[in-house]
Amino acid sequence: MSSESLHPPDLGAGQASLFQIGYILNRRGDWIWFLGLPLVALATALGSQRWLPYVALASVNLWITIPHHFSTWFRTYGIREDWQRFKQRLIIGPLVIFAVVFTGLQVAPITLLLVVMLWDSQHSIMQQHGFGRIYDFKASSGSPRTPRFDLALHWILYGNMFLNAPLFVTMWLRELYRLNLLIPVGAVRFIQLVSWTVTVAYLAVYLVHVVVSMRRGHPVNPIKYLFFAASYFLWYTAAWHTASIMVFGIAHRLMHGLQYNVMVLHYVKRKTEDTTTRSRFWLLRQLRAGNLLVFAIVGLLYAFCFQLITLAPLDEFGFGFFHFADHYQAIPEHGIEAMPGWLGYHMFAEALLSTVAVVHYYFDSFIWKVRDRQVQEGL
Amino acid sequence: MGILNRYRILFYALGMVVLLGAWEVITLQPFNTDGKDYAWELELRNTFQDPGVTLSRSLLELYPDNADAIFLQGLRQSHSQNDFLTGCQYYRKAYQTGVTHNEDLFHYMIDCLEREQAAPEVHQQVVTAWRRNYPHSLRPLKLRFADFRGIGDPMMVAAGALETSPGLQVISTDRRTDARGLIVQDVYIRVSGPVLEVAPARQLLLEAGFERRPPPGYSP
Repeated sequence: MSSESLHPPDLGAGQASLFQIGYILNRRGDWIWFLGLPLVALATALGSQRWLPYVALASVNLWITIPHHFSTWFRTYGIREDWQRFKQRLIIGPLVIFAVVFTGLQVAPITLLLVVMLWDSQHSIMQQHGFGRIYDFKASSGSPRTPRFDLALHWILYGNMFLNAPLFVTMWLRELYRLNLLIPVGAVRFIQLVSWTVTVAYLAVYLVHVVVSMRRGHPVNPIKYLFFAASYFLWYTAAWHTASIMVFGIAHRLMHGLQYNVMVLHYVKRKTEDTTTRSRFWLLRQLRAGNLLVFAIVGLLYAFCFQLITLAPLDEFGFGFFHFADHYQAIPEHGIEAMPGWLGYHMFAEALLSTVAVVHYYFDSFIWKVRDRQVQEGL
Repeated sequence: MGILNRYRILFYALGMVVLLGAWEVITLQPFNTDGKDYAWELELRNTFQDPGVTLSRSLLELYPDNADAIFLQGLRQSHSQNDFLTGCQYYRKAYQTGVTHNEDLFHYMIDCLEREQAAPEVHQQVVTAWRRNYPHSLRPLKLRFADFRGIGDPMMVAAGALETSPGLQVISTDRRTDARGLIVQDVYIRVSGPVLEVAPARQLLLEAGFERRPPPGYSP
């Protein structure tokens, strides 16, 4: 199904209202989760910087980011329809990603760090773009060209922040210098000037697009633009007005993680209202059917996770024949020390953390297509 | 084409990993056999040395008031002067911005205050902030003494002295000459948990035979 079919045909000026309001959840839900949350998240982050220690960022990661990864697994592996549609990618994707992350940590850790950072940014852009698309879908607003204009708007606004905010520049510049990719200050300033110029010019172009679309009879959903404004207010304020990744990290993760969780719950609820699409408790059924292989795999996975959570030595896995600590040197880029005894689990913990995040980015790249009719049923 | 389209984003990511990773492997040569650590050589040049285009210099030019840029300037200054204390004014300035994301900054500040023999309450304040922000940090705290006049191995004696202190573990001692040419005895202590009271630990070590350093104005 093409994106064109989401929009009403050209009606001509004067035949449709200029503004068409539509909500993702409902009026109250959207004001709380999509318009109010960014402001609350920013205030929380600024408050955390003032009153909480740095370790609070790790706590937000634990209680918000990790559960929002789980939401992806819940949808992809929990709903029968999604599992059947994306089965191949849901199996091959995590295997490939884990292999690449594990190899990357040992061979090219700086590259891995940069790619994860970039994919995280792309993932953030696409989430906000996806919500924007849902707003247009719900309100039947925007022209057939609006999705592309919106996507370009997100890339340019987020990219401008990434290239200009001191918080981000210090991060990517450091990694590039570590790779001996030395960008002189003059070149950085030129890139930043170009970025600002493109941003201002594109905002003007975007405004023209909105006006032209409205004149052609395509209404605008003002809630979508309020949502964009709230999101970028959070990002730009956190990136420019603090020198700490803590503020940006907490604000961004609160907004991104909570909005994602709300969306998944809404989606799953709508989907399961349809009696043809039931929640998919595949593993439970396998266990009930007495599938011993599945039971053994789950048991091993549980043991592995339990071992990691309790920080017990990984050497216990190897029956004394295999010592993890002897095989890995320090990876300063990831803050991983050399492997003295019980610290051997750090390599696996880091690989798992990166893998889980990247698999989440990957799955989201194909399960949330608003132009997809089956996805629309859940919106 | 179906596979290319289906796994498009994965291919993009893998392409970047391969391209950038190849550059990283060629540049940093992690598997070289000549024994050189090219990554560390680059880190030295970017952070500590001053051969032209370096990270510390670039960041300082771009963001002179940024805590990370000021901190890197301190590292560069102390390295070029071969004197740790030269960097302290920069670490202090960076610390006063209130940033908490750089554990190195806490560590260098504590080291500066210990070397400068700052007032115990000032030293304790920074140590408290470090433990509060990084309660799980495994990095050791260094306490400096004039010398060890007790009986036996300083390391064993120090470990015994702090044996009853919860959360403290002596991991090494080091006898060396400080910037003033005085013999000093450093005791490295690993800390568990968010709370660390420096004064009682120091007092236990003094009672075990470690000597208090002469006041800052003293010279041999």
